[in-house]
Amino acid sequence: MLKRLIALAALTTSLALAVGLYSHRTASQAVNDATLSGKATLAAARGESEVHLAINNSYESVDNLDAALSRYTVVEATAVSKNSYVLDDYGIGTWYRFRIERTHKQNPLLPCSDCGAMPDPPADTPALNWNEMMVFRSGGIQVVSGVTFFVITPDFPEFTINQRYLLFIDYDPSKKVGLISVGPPGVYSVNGSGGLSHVYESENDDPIGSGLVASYGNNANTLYNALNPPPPPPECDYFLQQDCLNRGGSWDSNLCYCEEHDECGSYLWLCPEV
Amino acid sequence: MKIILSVVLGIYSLAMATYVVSEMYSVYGDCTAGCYKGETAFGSGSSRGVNVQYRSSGSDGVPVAQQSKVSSALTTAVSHWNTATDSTQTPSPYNFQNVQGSGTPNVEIIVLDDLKSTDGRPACAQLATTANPQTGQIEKAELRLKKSVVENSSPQDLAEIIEHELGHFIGLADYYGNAEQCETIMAQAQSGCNSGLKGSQKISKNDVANVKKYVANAGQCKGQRSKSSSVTGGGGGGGFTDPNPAPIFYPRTCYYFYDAVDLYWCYDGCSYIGTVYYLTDVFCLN
Repeated sequence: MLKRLIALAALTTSLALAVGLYSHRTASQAVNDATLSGKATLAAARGESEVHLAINNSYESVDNLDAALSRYTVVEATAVSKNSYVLDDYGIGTWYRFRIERTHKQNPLLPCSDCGAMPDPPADTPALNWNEMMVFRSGGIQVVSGVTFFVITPDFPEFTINQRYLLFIDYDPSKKVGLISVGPPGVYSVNGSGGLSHVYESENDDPIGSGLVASYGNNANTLYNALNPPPPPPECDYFLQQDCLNRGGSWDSNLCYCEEHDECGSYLWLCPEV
Repeated sequence: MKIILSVVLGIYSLAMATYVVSEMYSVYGDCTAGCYKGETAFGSGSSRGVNVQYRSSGSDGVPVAQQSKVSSALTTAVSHWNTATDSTQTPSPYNFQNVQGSGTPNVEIIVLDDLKSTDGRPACAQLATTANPQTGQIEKAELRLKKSVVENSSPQDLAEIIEHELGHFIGLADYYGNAEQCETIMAQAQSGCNSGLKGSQKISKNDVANVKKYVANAGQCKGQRSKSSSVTGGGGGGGFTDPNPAPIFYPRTCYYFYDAVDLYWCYDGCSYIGTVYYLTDVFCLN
């Protein structure tokens, strides 16, 4: 009798172990660990409350600065605010609200056969002012199923709020949305005197960055003035100008204005007319 | 005179010959891709095995019709990394193994209809690496391929994309320089994503040397690792933005400019008697 009981206990124990292992394996297989929810489930099962992910994206590349200037819209803009979102079950992204300080060059959005449509800003985005736009970036921090996801994009730091940037972007004016398709080489911090600095650490100069240094002194103001030269002075009336000079006046070609010669200077009582 | 002419002609001929040769053969410099700053590279020790396979069934699996292509591309990519050497003819400490159908992968290839969380418009592939929260070391990764890229690329072009992403897994960053002048597998993809990588499309000696360098000394990975700072979803964080900012008005301001003249009475010597001020200009800002 005792032997039978021991045998029965051993049998039931084996069955329990087998069923337990099978059900655990089935549960594990049912979880898609490529998804955020799957990762959250597995992390929670391990007793972890955080998941740290790094997303490395592919970017466009350009051969030189001129190609970038003819391809992308170039703006100076200040990051104003940001909000992160769970985009789908695979990714987290962050929308930055930017105030456009000045547009260096606006190019049309080029057709792209393998690209999706430009994304729409999130529904909860407050109405944009006339001089604002939204820029999307991969990564951010969000909580999924009780687990906090920290998602970074290596080599491409997030924007700093209140920092002014020079951006090379694909810009959709109808949606007021910008994407940095060229990646880190398309973003530069701008200091108070217009000086530019890369936002990423690189052991090589990229074509855009080296072009800015070589052709524009690595300065946003120089770039802006080169791309937006002041309008030529108006063509003034030659006879008015000659008449002014004949009277001893000083001619301002920019304003087409004659500064009359003042014979008595500031000493009004010395003027014979006074 | 003859000697000078001979020297000039000799230099000229040499220059022309160099030009002709350079036009006939594309010469790639051995450029340096930096280090992957997301996390510390996978594994430890002088021999690091990396198991790679593609998901053959279930959600996000490689479609059956594309499995032979992906399998071929993966085999090519693994072989290229395992046989690549640096200038001393030494391979990297990593040994990739195609463990299709057996074993637990460290890198799993999956296929998605679209890659939404990308910074730019074109989205060819993504490597999503999971790091140990305590050590920051890469533990595993998904190599996410966009479905259209798998469908429209040749096995060779697909192999280049896989080699590039595996380069991230073992410590290499993207190369942003002019890929047409450089030999590195870390160059970006060709426009349209379906034609492989730009440039040499090969793993260079420097690529291998850099893998070895950063494995041996992670401190040589220059620069700070990028890091998210705070939860900013649902309207929280990121600072307050007044949705209805009050316009700033500046009152009309005028500046009045005066000249001053000192007056002296001169009779048997001069003595100061006072100063006269008079208005010379008015300048107003609206």
